[in-house]
Amino acid sequence: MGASSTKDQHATAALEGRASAAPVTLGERSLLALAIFRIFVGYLWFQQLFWKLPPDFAGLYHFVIRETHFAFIPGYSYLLQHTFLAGCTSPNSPAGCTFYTPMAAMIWTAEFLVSIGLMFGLFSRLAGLLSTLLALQLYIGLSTSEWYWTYGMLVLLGFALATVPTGRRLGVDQWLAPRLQAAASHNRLARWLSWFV
Amino acid sequence: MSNILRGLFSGLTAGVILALLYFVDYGPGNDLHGVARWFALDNQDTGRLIGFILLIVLGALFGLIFGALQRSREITIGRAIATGLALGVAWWFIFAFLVAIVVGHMSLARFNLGSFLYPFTLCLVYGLLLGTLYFQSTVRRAIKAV
Repeated sequence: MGASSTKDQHATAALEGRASAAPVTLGERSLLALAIFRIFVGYLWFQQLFWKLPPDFAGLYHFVIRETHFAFIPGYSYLLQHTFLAGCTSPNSPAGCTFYTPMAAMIWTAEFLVSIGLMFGLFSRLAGLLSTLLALQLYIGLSTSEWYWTYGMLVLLGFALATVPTGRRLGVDQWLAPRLQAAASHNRLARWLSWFV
Repeated sequence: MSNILRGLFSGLTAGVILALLYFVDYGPGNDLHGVARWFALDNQDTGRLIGFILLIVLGALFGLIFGALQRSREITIGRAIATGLALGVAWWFIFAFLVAIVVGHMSLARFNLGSFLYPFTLCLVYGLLLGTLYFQSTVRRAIKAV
């Protein structure tokens, strides 16, 4: 009687364990809600392209200077001042800076790619990952100058979008994902790329 | 007929999402003045509301066109996205460019990367939403039928 009861308890525990560890499948409405969330986060990045437009990326300069004052990692300010801000003579204008324009162009391009990736659901997890890295850099450089959660939340938004394949609804990934997965068995590049959709 | 209705519903939904995207800025909704300006309908008091409604109406219109283009063909996700994006480009060219110049008297001298990129990308986002929403509604209908 005692042995049988213990066996029953084990069986019940095993069943419960299996049920609680079963994969979670999201319903269609949840997927659509996540896709809309992705589009709005992409739009957040997209809007930030317009106050630092090429060719001079002038709007960005003020914030790079601010990063040299507020970065909380030792040596980060020194690194900025002696690489990207080398040769700069004024805190108000990037005139004379040797490497400011290439750096600003890289930042603008990265933010453009993030915004397009998220708004169009094109390699959305890669875009989420890239946005996490960009936001992390902002967190390091600027979080002590404002409410620190502003940039902390930006990091978390990107991280959430890197972990969930939100581009498979209302996004180009819906078309891309099955094709990459089909090709993944015989093509290494397709296998790598399929991680990012 | 059901294709046209589904196109209308998808276009309306995509138009509402687009209008909400335009609404989110420092104004809020200052960019909606720009939409009203395409048709020379902008003013300080009601320009934003006019822009908001215009985006939804245009969204519905392009949704109808999308539905009409499908006829009785079976839609695939690839074709839905391509057709949606093409209609997004058409929206930008007809309304944000031609109508804005002819009716809204937009000066070509003010045309630069920023003034091109903002409405063009949002028109493409509308097109993508239109195509994918239409495809989702088709899939949902097919699943219900089975």
